[in-house]
Amino acid sequence: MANAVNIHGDHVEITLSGELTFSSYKEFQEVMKSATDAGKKSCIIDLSALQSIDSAGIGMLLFANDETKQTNIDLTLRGPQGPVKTVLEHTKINEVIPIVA
Amino acid sequence: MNFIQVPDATIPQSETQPEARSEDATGLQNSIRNSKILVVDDQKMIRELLKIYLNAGGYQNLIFAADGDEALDAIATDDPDLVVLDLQMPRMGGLDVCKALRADPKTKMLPVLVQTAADSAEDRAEVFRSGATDMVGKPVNDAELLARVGIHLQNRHMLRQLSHYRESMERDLQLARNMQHRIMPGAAELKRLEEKYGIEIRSKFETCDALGGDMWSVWPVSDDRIGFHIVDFTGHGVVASLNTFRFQSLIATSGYDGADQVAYLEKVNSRLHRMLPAGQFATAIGGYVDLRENVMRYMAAAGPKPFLISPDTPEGVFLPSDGRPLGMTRDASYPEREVPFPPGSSVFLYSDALTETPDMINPVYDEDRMQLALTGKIDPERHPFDVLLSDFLDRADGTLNDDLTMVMLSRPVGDQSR
Repeated sequence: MANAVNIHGDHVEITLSGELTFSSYKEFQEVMKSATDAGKKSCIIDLSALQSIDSAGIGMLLFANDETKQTNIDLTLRGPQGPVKTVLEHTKINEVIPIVA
Repeated sequence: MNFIQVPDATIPQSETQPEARSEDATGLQNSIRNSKILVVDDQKMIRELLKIYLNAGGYQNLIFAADGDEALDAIATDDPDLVVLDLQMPRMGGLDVCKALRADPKTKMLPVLVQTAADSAEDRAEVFRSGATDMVGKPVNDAELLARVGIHLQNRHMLRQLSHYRESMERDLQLARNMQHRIMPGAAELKRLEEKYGIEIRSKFETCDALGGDMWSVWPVSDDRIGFHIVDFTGHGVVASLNTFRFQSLIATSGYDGADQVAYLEKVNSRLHRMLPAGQFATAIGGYVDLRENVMRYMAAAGPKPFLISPDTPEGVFLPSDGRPLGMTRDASYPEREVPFPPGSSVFLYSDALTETPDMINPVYDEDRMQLALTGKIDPERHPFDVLLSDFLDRADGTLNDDLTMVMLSRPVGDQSR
């Protein structure tokens, strides 16, 4: 997993790329922490460059959703492609975390 | 299902027990002091001297040998924890004793401390090549001797504790593994169900660690309906397997009356949601085959797509199985899906190890290959279930990166009895 955190006016944007799997756990936690620490009202996770995700990755997104809810941050996922899109649709994550194209 | 173990925030990580730990440390110190040390030297005076040094260091449990042969006898009969060995001795010398000890599996790990006056690097290397654990300079200095004896005994005892711990863990895991296998239907139960419903049930359950996060079951719903489910919890190993036990007791106590399986699954989902930490969930497929109405009705919680072969679809079809994984959210709906399931139909259910091993980008196995195996294109002579299993294991090089469960329910062609 490679990632970037960018802070804009009223929101934080996280860009994930590569794979979101078991081995990304620690790095993902750190990224999420820096995003929530920024103190913005909303957070967007951009998935357009993410190539694959497994159930570990799904779990991490859900965990992030839980954490942002507790700090009143709106979490949105953006632009999943290919196999990532398929997995998110199969598990109906959009019913839990908003996904935009 | 591959997954991380999200640490449970409710367990305080810093809660250690200092009393217990210092007790362990004292226990270790006592074991070290009570260690049996064999002193081997052909000169009585040196043996006496080493005895005085070791006694002064608190080691009272000493035995002695005057040459290599005696040393090997003493090791065989008295099983010492450490040997202090001289090199130049009549009959068998120290280096040969070392070689003999290392060649024997029983004494391969026995710490051997060689007393040597060897000055050259080459001589010292020769001592180590023979299998000595360490050296102590000759004439022996008492502080150096006690320091080296202490270190090697400590290592030996810590290794022993570790290996005891490991053995007891392995025993525990084996017991747990047997327990896990017992929550799946046993051979006798399967045979009974096969006879009652005139349906063939094939299954395979294998975990990649000692314990796994998969489970499956079949059970009688009514005289015409046989129920089934296949469930895959996030992760594998101990945490995932604990969740399978939770699930098992949940369904055992939730009491499915056979009437409304949708309402039942929704209830199971919200109960599971309360039990599981955030980020843990299960994918599942569950439902029943109705042998009188010739249909299968199932609900999907994002499990892998069931593969259905029927007289209408001899090439097979993958059935839709999107749905919210179980336990992910408190409220979730699981619409019932219905497909024809007349005599001659088969349905194949599986965990995602089949299509996700070892990575998702280049799966070893895919749906196209599965379809070929199950429709007799790879080997029409053998049972499709066996063909698929051996074909998959061949391609996975026999190693599983995830738990594997496969279940196949088949109705024979001629079954018109209902």
